[in-house]
Amino acid sequence: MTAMPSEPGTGTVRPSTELAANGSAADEADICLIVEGCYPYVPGGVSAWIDWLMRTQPHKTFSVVTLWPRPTDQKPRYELPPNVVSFRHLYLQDFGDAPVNRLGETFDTRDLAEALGRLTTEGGIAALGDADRRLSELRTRLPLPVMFNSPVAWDLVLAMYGAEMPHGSFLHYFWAWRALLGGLFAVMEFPLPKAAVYHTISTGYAGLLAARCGYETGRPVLLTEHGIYTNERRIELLMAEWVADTIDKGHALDDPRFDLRDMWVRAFEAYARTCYEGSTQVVTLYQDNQRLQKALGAETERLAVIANGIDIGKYGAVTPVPDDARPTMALIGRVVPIKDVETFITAAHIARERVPNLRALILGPVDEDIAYADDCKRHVAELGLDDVIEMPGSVDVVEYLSRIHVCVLTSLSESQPLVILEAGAAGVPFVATNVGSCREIIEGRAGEEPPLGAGGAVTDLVAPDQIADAVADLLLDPERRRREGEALRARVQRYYRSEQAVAAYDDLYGRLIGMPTAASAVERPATATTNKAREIA
Amino acid sequence: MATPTHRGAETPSSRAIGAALATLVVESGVGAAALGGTVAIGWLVLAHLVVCAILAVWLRRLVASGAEVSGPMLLLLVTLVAGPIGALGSLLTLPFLRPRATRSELLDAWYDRISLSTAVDPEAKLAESVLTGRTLDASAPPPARLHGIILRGTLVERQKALGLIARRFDPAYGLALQAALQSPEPVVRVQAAAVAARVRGALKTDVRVMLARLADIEREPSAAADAAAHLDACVGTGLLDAGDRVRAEAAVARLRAAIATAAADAPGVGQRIPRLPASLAAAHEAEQAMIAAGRFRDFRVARRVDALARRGLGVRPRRRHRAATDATPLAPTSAESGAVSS
Repeated sequence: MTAMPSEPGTGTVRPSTELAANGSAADEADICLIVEGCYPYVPGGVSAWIDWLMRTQPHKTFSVVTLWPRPTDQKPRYELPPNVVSFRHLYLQDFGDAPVNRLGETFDTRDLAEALGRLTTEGGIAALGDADRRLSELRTRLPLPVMFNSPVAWDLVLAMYGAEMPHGSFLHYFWAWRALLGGLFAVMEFPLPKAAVYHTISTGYAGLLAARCGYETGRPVLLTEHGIYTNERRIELLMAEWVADTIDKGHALDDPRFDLRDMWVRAFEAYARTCYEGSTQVVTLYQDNQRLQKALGAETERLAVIANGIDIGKYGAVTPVPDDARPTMALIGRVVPIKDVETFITAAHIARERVPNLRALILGPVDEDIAYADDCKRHVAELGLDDVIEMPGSVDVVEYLSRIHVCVLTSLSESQPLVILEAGAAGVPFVATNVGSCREIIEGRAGEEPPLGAGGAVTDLVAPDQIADAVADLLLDPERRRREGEALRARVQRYYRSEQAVAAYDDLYGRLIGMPTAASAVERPATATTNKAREIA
Repeated sequence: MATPTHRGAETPSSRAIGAALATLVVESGVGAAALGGTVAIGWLVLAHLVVCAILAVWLRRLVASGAEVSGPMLLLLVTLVAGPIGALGSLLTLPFLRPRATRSELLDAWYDRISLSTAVDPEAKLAESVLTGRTLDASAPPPARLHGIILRGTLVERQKALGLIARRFDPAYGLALQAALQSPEPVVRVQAAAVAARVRGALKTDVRVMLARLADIEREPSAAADAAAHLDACVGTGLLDAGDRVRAEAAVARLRAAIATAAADAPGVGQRIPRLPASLAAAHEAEQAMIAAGRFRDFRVARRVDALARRGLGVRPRRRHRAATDATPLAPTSAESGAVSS
C-alpha cells in the first residue's frame, strides 16, 4: 500500500523537468482532477495527496487540469503516474487576445452584465447556467478572448460598475474587474476534458470549473477540501495590501459602503456556493471543517469525511530513539511562513534553559521561500542557537524519526497534517498548535472508546513559551514520553490507516462513475475562434 | 501600453463611398454619351473637369473641418487620372481603406490615468473623494473597541477586525490580537496567527530601531515619554522575542528613570515639563488654555506624561479616575486605548 508522503524527502516526490501523460487531451478519463496552485509544481501538502490518490487508484485513469495565474517557470516536483491520460494547464490571468481594430460588432451587454454580476455576487448553479448561456450567445459572434479587449468589454465593465459600486473609484474597479472577470472568462472558456467524474480539490476557480463541468456534461462532481479555500482567501484578502481601499472607512467595520475588498471576498464566496451546489459529494478531512462548509452553503446530506491515512507498516518499523541519546525535538515541514518556523526556533531557545544539551532539527526544504529561510537562519544566529538548531533540508523522514524524541508542529494553519500521523505511527509523541485536526489526532475525538489518552500536547498559536514547556516536559520525562508516543501510535493505527482512505475513495469513485448522466447536461455552441474574429474584422 | 489613437472626427467611409458612386454614375454616363456620339468630346472633358472640381471643393471643406480625408483624396486623384475607371476603382477600394490614426493628447492623458501610471494630485484626489462620498462618514457612530469585537462580535466582524489590525497595526492592538489567538473559534485563531506572523517582523524592526536610538531619545523628556509608552505597548503585544522583550523592558525602565531624574534633580528641566492638573475638569481647562495659546508641543508632552502616569510608568501617581476612556476630551488616543475610532 502506498502511503501519502507529507513532505519532500519521502515517498514519490522528485524533481522532473517534463510531464508526459500517457494519452492525448482528447482521451476520456475516469476521473478529471482539477487542482489550483499546487500539483505538480509545489511539493508536499495537497500535491503529495494528489500524487498519492492517483497512484493508489491504478485501475482508474485520470486527467489533470492545473490552474495557475499565468505560465510558470517552476519545475514540476512530481512525475505523472502511468494512469494519467492527459495533463493541461489553465491560466487565469493570461486571458485575452490583442485588440482587433474595427471589430464591427455591437452587443447588448445588459443581460450579460446582470448574469455575470449574479454569478460573482450570489453564485449558484442557476447563476452559472445563466452566465454560461449569455456567454454562449456572445461567443457565437465574438470569441471571448477578443471580446475581453474590445468595446464590448468596456460596455460590460461600465454596466457592472454602475450596478455594483458606482460610488467607488472607477479606475480601481476597472483593474479589479479585469483580474476577477479575466479569471472567470478563462474558466468559462476552457475546453472541458472528457471524464466520467470531475474531482476538484478546492472551491475557488477550480471549484467553479468543476461546477461548470458538471453543469455542461451532466456528470457527477466530487469536491475534496483539505483546508477551507474560501476562508483562506478571505483571510488573505482582508490583510492584502494589493487590494486598494478606495473608500475611507477609518476603523469602522460596519460601514455599508461596498469596496473592492468586499467585491473580491464576495466573489470567492459566490464561487464556493456554486461549487458546493454543483457537487454530488463534498468530502473533507475532518469534521470541524464541515461547519464552515455548511456556513458557505454546502448541504448537510452531501457532506462526508475521509481522513488521510498512512502506511502503518513503514513507520511502525522505526526504531525508538534511546533515552540516553541527545534530547532532540524536530519540526518536519517546509521552511515557509505558514509553518511559523520562527516560533519553533524561539521555543527551542526557551526549552534550552530547561533541557541541557538540547538539539532541535528543522527537516524540510528551504528553497520555497528563500527570504523567510534566511530570516530563520538569522533568528537562529541572533539567539545563539548555532549549536542547538540544525537545518539539513529535505531528508528521509523515516530514517530521522529514529533520532527524534519529540516532534513539533508550529503551523498557523493546517488541515490534517500527515506528519503527525507519521510520527505517531513511529511512536513519537507530538506537540502541535491548535489548528486543523491536530487536537483530534493528538488528544482523540470526543467520545473515543476506549479512550487512548493524549499523544502529546496541543498549544496556542504563536506561543513559544507553551511549546517550549510542553516539549521540555516530554523530554525530561521518558516514561511519559513513551506512554504518550504509544497512545498516538494506537490512535493512528485505529483511525488513520492508508488502506482505509484508499478503500473509501475507491468506493466513492466507483459509485460516482456508475451514476447516469444527468438530463440537465447542456449542449454548448461551437466556440468561435480568434481567426474567425479576425475575419469578422 | 499601446499608443492611444483615435479615428478622425468623422468616419469618411460611407460619404466617400456615396461620392464615388455618384462620380462613377456621372463619369460613365457622360462617357457613354460621348462614345455614342450624342455628346461632343469637348463636353465630355468639361463634364470630367466639373466633377473633379466638385470633388476638390468637397475635399477642401473636409480638410478645413479636420476630418479624415484619405478616402476622398483617393477618389479625387484616381477619378482625375482615370475618369470612370478611377471612380470604379475607388468604389471597390474604399470599403477596405483604414482611416489614418491620429494622436490625441486627451486620449493619451486618459490612458495614462486609467493605467494608474500617473500620480494624481492629492488635492484633486481629495476633492474627488469628497464629491463622490468616499471620505470618512462623519455622521456614523463611533466604532466599537477591537478587543470587544474580538470577544463578542460575529465571525465576520471578528475577521474584519483582524484584517484591520493587520493592515493598520499599532502595538496597542496587541490585546485584541492576543484575545484572537486564544479564541475558541479555530477560524479566528488561524487568522490571528497569520496577522501575528505578519506584524511580528515589523514590530521587531520598530523596537530595534528605537533601542538603537535610546541614548538620543532619553535626553529629551517628551521624546523619552513617547518612546517609553511606545515600547511598553510593544512589549504588551506579546509578539516580541524573549530577547527583544527583555531589552525593551529594560529600555522602558531606563527611560522612566531618565524622566524622573530630569523632573526631580533638575528643577529647571522639571519646570519645562508641562503637567496637567489632577482633576478632570481642571486638566481639560489647562489643555484648552494650551491650545488657545498655541502651545501645541506642551499640550502633546503633557498628554504623554499623563498617559505614562496612568500606566504606572510616569513621574507621578495616577491622579484621577475615569468612568470610561472613550470619548472624553482627555482620553488617550485610539491607538493607546486599543479602541478604534474615526
